[in-house]
Amino acid sequence: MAAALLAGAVALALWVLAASRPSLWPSGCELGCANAERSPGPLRVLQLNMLHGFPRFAHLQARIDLIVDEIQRRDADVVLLEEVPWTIGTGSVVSELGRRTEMEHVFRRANGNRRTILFEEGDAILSRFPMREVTTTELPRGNQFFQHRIALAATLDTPWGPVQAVVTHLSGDSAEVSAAQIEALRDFADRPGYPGMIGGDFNARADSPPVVALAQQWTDVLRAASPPDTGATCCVDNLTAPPGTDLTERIDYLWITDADSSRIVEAGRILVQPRRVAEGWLRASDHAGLFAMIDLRR
Amino acid sequence: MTPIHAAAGLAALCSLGAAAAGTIDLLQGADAGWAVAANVLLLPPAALLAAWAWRTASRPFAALAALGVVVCPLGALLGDRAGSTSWWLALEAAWWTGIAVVAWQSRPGLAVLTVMAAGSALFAAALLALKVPEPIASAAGLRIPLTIVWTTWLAADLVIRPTSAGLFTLDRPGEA
Repeated sequence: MAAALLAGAVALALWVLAASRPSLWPSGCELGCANAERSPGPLRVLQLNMLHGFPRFAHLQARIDLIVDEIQRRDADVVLLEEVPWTIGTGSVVSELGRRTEMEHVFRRANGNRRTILFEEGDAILSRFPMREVTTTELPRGNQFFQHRIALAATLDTPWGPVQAVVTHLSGDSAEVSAAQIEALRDFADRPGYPGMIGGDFNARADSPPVVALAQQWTDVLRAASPPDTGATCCVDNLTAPPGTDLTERIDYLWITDADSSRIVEAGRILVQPRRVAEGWLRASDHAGLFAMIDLRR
Repeated sequence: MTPIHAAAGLAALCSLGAAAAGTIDLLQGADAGWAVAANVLLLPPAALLAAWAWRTASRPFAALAALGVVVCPLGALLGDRAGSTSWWLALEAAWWTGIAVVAWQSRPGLAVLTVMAAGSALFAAALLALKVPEPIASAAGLRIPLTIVWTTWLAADLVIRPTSAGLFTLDRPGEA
């Protein structure tokens, strides 16, 4: 009897310890899910922290619709997303996005666990191009026990040759944590051989020392664009507020590692203002997204 | 080795495999194949438990304890959705209730653990059926680690006491 109670306690401990952990490996559809014909032109990249909204998931399905619409409207080739959720109501959001946009997709959970708490969120890459060599790393921990940070990378076979896409969501708990995570990200993403693009919510302002240091090695796409767009990307509290609510700080970035072989055709923030929906106004996320068209000269 | 030992050993191996697949499913989540594997592997021990219950227990409880041979294939068919399907969770709770009642006298340890598992499955079914919002709904997930611990315990029980006088026997009464 006592042993059975002890076994029950072990199960309880297992539940708590597994409640929020990165998944063992990435999952998704890396090959064979992209069916749509790509329209010609430079590489089109979209980056967004899509806001999972745990525990209320306010307007989640309607916001997914807005994101799908934006991906299709921009005809994005590559989409880098953070806070991509799995919920009881929606199921796997990355699968839905991949299906509705007809793109290859890969996802790795960073936090939560769909089995233990019926919710999880993580980073995702969607691509018009075939993916291979999907890799991932767990970044140095922040200050919260249940919070984990990861980076997810995939090699995309584009018409211009292989390109590495990387997505991440850093915690920014403190300057030290931010510096450690950015350093680990740089080591993870800096691979020789071919150009890379890195998108994510860095939770660090552009004038913070780790971001300033990173900007000396990688190219901040929105800053390097002509004209540059270094406006705020975060955050609004009320997703249904009418246009005019201001974003307050710039913490989301899109970087390229090899500026010599690339030309930024245009880049800027997107989804800055809410959209008209049946019930009034709605924002896709509490963050603005980023969009860039990059000419990869080979 | 007698056929009884062989059957119990095979069921124990399957049970351990189900625990391993369940653990990977718990940690990974996104690949439904592990949930399917766990349910498929649980079928042989569920069948053994059903055979034993059918011989030894009164009909209503034997019928409940035999539900495992339906619950496991259905769980495999539902795959990823099993853990969030309230009617399947209720069926699983009923199966475990039958096992707990049948095992209560001869295997109190297994019975107590099975009561916990049944309670967690019933609780999860209620939370999902009533569409209780997060974060309260998170409690439904306690069922999975309990399932893993239960299948591990069952494997150990099958290995430690597979005698004809014990719980997991296919002998007819009076033959032992």
